[in-house]
Amino acid sequence: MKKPFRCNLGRIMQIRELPALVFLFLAVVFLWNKAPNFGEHANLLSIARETSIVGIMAVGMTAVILTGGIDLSVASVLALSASVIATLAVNGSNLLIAILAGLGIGTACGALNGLLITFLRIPPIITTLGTMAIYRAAVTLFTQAKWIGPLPAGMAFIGSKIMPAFILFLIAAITSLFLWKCRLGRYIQAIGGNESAVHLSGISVRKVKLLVYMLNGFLATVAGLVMASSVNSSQANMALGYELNVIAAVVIGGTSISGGQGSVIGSVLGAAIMSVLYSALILLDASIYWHKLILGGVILAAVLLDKLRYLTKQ
Amino acid sequence: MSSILRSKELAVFILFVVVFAFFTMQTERFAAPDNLFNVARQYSELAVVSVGLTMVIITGGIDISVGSVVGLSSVLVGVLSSILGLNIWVSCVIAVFAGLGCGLINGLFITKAKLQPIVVTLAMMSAARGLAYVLTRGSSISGFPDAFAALGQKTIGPIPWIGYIPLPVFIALVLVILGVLLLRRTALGRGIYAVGASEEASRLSGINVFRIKLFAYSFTGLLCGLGGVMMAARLVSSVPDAGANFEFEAITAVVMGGSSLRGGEGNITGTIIGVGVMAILRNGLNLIGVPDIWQGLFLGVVLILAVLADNLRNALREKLKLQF
Repeated sequence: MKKPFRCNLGRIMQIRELPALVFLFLAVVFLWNKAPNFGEHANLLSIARETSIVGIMAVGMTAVILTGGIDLSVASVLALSASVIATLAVNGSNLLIAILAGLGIGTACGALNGLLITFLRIPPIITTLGTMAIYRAAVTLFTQAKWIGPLPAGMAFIGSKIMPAFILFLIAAITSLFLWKCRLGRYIQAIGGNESAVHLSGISVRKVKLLVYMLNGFLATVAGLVMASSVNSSQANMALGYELNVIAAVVIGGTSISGGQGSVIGSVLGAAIMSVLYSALILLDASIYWHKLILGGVILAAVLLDKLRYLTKQ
Repeated sequence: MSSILRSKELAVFILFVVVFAFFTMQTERFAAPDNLFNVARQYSELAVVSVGLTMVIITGGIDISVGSVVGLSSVLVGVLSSILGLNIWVSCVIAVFAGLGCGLINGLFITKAKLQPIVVTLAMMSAARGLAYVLTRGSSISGFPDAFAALGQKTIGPIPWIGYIPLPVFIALVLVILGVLLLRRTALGRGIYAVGASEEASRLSGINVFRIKLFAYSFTGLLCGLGGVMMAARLVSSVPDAGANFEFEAITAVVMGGSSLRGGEGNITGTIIGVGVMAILRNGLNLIGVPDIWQGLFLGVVLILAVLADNLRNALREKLKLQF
């Protein structure tokens, strides 16, 4: 007779998101008991907001990394498109038009990345390293390095209360469904696994990749919208350095950086872990300077666990 | 024609000459010897770090932790000497070894645990910068002995034809020459190229891939440690965000210099000319009064154009190969 229990345990061990989920659960339980303020409404909301901003970008980044690429320019795209939206909104243009213009700019930035990568064959890390600097310079020039705000009252709801978390949930759910149920989604995963095989089977790898980078630019704008709305302003250096938080979230969530394997849910969990850690350091009166150090350890532990999972599978 | 196209450094050298000529014509102050020496002094740390990064990139890897390790090493000099009261030179040695340690950890995770270089060094980037902030609580440390402070200002010379060279520039020059010799004249250097060209083939032909990769990352770490000490001496203070952006500038220099991120191609001469392009570009733009904001834009465009030129040259080379 077979041993169903052990078989199930083995299968559970194979769940990609499991380590992140367990870690998040333990961290939350620990903090709930140790830090009296952790469970407070305001703290939970601020964790949710931070998770949403990083998480929304991480969803797009997951798709990019699934194709075997990377995008270092997301935080610069966020700042650029958010500043466009804020400038238009402050100058009294229709909110809907402002947001659409911002989404257009963000998607165009993504498209430029995608074009450089697919048609001019510049490696993704170099392309986006370059455009990261270019977009950041563009937003600084565009805003004259000035603070733009306060935003019209109509925008506040996007970044307030539980709304950011709701937007993240919606985006994560749609993208997950898209990646698992749509043909295009499966192509995205297949490209990361074996690009030439996908190419040989008659699919335009270029078009798929271009689309993925455009999606990433689009989602960076959505994250920027949430960020700007929650602080009621926009400025040129907003989200500076966030590209690394986003990549860290994706990696902690179990997505393989070499492409082909990963999940959106994992990346959202990764984003949650990072913001819980950050909140924990503040609540436990530890210096927030520890954050980066601990984060480095968590990233390493996550990829090591992933490696271990891969080895046990074989 | 094809031999010219084969020369990887040519494109970046032409770029260097063009940029240099442009700024010489634009402003008199640019080509003045003390301005140029000053620029060289400021960029000597980046040059030292880029020597190591070139080797890592030739093996087909990448190291984005270089800037953070520079920061950590710079901080250690101050913490050990000013706060713990250790001898300044002992502190320097420990700081350099701390850099080596970071590189060794990178190398071990990449070779032994077979993790992706970008992830491992991303973690190290975060951890080393975090440690630098933890150790200093975010502020900078000053109050070094005069002998150490003089290190950043000292000159070597007179050397015939050139005159007095700032000590940091001299150190960088020595390391560049060492790096070039190591890559061109030693078995280790040939191994680095071989591993980058094809890891599998190298392994099959009896090359110790593990040792070569571990060396590349450790050596880079060591150079970052040295770069941190040099920076502490030049700024006469330990700053926790020392070396911020170094990963960006060093990768740009290496890529401009003709190294391929796929590994197996590239050399240190090209990288150093790349560092030079960035140095004079930044300095020249400052002198003609272009605001900082525009400089990021320029650097980004230059980086992308450099790779484009490289792609174009490769395509031309293929075409010529087909014709003859």
